Amino acid sequence: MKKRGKEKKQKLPFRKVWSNNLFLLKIIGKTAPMLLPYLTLTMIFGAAVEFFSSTYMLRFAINGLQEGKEFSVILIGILLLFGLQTVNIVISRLYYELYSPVRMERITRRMKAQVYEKAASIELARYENPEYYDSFVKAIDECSSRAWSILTTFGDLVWFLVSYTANFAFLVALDPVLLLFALVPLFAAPLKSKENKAKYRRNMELKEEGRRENYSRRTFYLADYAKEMRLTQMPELMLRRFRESGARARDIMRKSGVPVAVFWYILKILNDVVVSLGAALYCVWRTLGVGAMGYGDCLVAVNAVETVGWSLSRSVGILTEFQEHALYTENLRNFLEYEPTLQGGEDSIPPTGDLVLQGVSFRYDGAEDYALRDISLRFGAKEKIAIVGHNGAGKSTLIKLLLRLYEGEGTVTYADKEISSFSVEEYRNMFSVVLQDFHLFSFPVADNVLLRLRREGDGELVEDSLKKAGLWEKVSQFSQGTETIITREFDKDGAVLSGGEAQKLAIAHVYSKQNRFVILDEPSGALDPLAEHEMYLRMADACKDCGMIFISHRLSSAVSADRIYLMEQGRVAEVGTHEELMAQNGRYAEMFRRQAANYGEVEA
Amino acid sequence: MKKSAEKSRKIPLWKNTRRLFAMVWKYTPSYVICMVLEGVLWGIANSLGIIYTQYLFDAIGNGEPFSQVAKIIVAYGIYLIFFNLLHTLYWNLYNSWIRKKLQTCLHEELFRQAVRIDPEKYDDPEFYNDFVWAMDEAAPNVEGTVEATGKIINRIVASLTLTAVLFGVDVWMAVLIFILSALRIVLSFWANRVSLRYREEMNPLWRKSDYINRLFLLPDYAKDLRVSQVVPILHKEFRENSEQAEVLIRKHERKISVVWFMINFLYALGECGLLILMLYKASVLKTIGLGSLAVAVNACWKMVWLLRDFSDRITKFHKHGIFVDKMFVFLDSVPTLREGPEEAGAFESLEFYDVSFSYPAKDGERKEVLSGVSFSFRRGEKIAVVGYNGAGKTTLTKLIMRLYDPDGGQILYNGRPLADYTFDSLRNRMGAVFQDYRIFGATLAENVAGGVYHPSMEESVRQALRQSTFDEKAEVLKDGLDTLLTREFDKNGTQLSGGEQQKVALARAFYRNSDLIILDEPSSALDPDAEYALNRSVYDYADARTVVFISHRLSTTRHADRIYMFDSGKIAEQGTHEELMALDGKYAKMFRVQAEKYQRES
Repeated sequence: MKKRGKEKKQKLPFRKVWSNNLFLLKIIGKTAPMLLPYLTLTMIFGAAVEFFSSTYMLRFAINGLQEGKEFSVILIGILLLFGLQTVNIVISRLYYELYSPVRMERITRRMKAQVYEKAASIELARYENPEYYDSFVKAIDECSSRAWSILTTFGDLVWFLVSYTANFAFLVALDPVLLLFALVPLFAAPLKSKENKAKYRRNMELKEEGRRENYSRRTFYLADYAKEMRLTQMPELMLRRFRESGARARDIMRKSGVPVAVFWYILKILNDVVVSLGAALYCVWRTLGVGAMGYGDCLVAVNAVETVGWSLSRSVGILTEFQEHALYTENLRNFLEYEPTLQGGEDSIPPTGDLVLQGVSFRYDGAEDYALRDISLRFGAKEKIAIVGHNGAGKSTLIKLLLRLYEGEGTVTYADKEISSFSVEEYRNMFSVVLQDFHLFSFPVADNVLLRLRREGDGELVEDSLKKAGLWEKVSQFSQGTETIITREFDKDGAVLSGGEAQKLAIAHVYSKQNRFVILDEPSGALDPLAEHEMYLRMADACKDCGMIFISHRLSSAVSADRIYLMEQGRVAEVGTHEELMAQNGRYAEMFRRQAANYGEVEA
Repeated sequence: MKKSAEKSRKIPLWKNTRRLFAMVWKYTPSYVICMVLEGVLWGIANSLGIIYTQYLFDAIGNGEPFSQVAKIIVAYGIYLIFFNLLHTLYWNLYNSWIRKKLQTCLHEELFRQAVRIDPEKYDDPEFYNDFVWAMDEAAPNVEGTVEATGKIINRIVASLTLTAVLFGVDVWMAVLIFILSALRIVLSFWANRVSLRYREEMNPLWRKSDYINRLFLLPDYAKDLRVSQVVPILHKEFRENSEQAEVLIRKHERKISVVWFMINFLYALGECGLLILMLYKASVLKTIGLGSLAVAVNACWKMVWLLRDFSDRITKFHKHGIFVDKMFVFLDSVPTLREGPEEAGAFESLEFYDVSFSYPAKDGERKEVLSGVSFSFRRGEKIAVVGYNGAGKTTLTKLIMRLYDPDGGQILYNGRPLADYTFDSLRNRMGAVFQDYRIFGATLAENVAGGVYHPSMEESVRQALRQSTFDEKAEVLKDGLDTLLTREFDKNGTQLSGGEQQKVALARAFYRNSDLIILDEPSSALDPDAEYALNRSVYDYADARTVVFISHRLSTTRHADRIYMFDSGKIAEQGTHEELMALDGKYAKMFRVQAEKYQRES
């Protein structure tokens, strides 16, 4: 078993707690300015009515009886209370159902939109770093519930402040000594926050095992794995893994559960025994032993001490809840405030130019070897360039650098200007890219073709692009045409495409755009030879005026390129046209002959 | 929005519950015992507090000596210290621990069933939804049912003991409380129905919102989002989705507010009514004393709370019941693919007779992908299946490996129908690499072994890796054969490239040392050199074994003993490469298109 990494200290200074909570409250305030005032009002009124109906009314009734008040007077008091309660119910329902849910939806929407925007702007490398990625996942998780939790805590705080003040005043009027008991929970505050921290630590440890368990579970139900899970003994292995994770989780519960339990127990005893029973003992002593306290007052005082003690311990809990919110918000905030190191400039992009790489090297985060070493090459504005080479030679990495998905050493220029001087978005928009591992979206066909927001008159463009990609015949048969949703996840009438059809759809995107550069990364993997052949013809036709960069390990597709770069182990090993490289009789020629030999026309 | 006909299955709640407890009992008997014990003990303890209060107040009212009362208070304190210790042990330590154990066992049962269900079912969105649901939600709902049962026992015991106390104080009060509680239960059933419909209507919106969340979150999509302008579409969809949710929230929350107003109003009304009744008795009739009044008020609050909670638990129990039922339906679903009793012997021949097959399409129709396919091959032959996309090539593999059964015709293995053999024996005779092979988040050795790995298997694993030409890479991996092939939950894991993954998948097929190897477009992610090497290694390895190549790369298949050209689900042409070229039909055309550019060189 691997040793787990050193636990990170999870402690936030007070200032941070304050500012993180404020950060969340500000988001709430900006989205729904009336939410907090409304909540405050609801809580104040609710707590006041509660005080009247539990503590005060009892005393009023008992004292009234003792003093021999008229029943009608007591009756009026109770009816008054009933009226107050009814008003309270109306206010609560207005807040809890008619007002807040819609606002909460808006707040979540705003937070998620912010996170999404950030997510789309952070560097790709962050997705590949498990630690960063983890904090990212946590940040997104927080969006849907944290605002709601902090509002609940805030509401509780208001409630207990009101309830505490009322009961406190009541106790002072009865017997100030009782306050001593009511104050005990204040001293327990550090314990409570220790309990919360122990809880947090335990949950974090459990989360890790949870991730492992989830992976095993997924292999059992995801369609992707269905075949292998039936044809191999993998189910046994995954089951074993699942069981091991479960056992480890139980271990964590046993070990890390102990401190949580101990803190909880101490706090519980403090409250139930020391405060409540202590106060009862005192009151009884004052009443029966000393005779200084009235009979009715004694009954009510025991009640009131319990209420004050309970609300005080709750309010201590509330403070630690704020701490917890701060802890969780920290992730979200760090994420939102993170400035991607990949920054764009302000320069506008020249209408035409060459892309030039000068001495570019790159190493993946955490990798020992460089994926690219000292690469220099040029993509002309209207050139058709092929990049060929073995798996793992760095072809795809090169494309990622070119698209500014990663940043390496060395310089990349467009029209003689460093690409970092352009805005990232505009720069990337010069390209149309079909990735090796592209994904389709569960949106209408038209959106998958355009991959941008629709504009007036896009219909023809979509049709035209699909025709060029050789997919129109298929799409026109769909019940909803280009509005048919891809996959059946959200629509029973959705379209399920085969691998080849999916690839055609991805390629259709290229035709829908005015491109300066088209990048095709192994675009023909799932296409049959005829479809591949047609694709290349059409693409060359559509791309007369733009640069084309295609990566392939099928050398037949490189033959007609203006220039071929052969990559090997992260370096450019050979450069030239097909004829030049064949004449050079190097690695390219060797590879070409070997492949051609399979077709039997060229001798190896 | 079009709504499908409501499923009319009546949920056998009682039967399900019995079965569920039998299941829980099987896995974690102590959980059941402790749950019942906890319910009864806590139920009694609940009333103990009231009895203590009554005693205390009566003692004060009667002016008993302080020392006497103090003794009772201290005794109660000692009781609390022990009782809370029990409480902590149970809730903070035992409960979550035993639930985890139950979870693990339960999943084991679900997992076993999951790999039994027909692969065809994955294409049925309705079944698949329920299936995924069962895998995700079964455990929480089973636990929920057990917990709810514990709480229900607790509330019943508590309210019975409390009722005894209340009846002792005043019969009318007890009756009034019962009427109120009954009303409350009826109302909460109504509330439940309203919120269930609410959830139902919100569900599609939540799913969509989850999907968009995934798009931003998953590393798979990160590149796609960056190289296109799709992000604004996602933002737009997300916003529209949320706005739609707002409309639904408005509509349903209005109904819910009415329900809750009624519930709370009734509660307030009842509370005030009780207070008036009790005060009337105390002040006008003078039939009850002040101490009893205080106790009665306390007890009545507690009782109302208990019954409110009781009805909540019952509805929760009911809600869990719906989900638990889904789980049982899943566990009971019988796969249509049944295995036979025979052990499949060494491969001799495979024959297709007039085989047709169709996938379920929408509205119950089926989409035919193979029709009238007849062909056969014998031990040692190298067979190629070629054709355009969507010609039904891949379906062949699935039929041969019996992931699906054909709709018509017969497939014979060594002269007997596939269905005569056990799954394991049949599938062990075959090794397959699919177009969409998967690498598991397990170690390299486990991925090659296709399951649990033991050091004694090392030599065969290494050999398989050599045969798939992955051995060199395996040498440089940090942990060698024990390297974890994912970084998802372990930083020390490794992420292999597409080509490398393919080699591992190939090694998996070789490792099994099968008589029959099926390669379903395995070289689509390989470079020419690697493809060449792969073909060589397959031929070297194959030797006397039977190999079926499925490919659209004709260079891979030209040396096959026999080539089947598929077109629209039928065999269009068959023969050797030379025969087919001489025929000058579809195959010849396809070959020429692909070879064209190489030919130019000659």
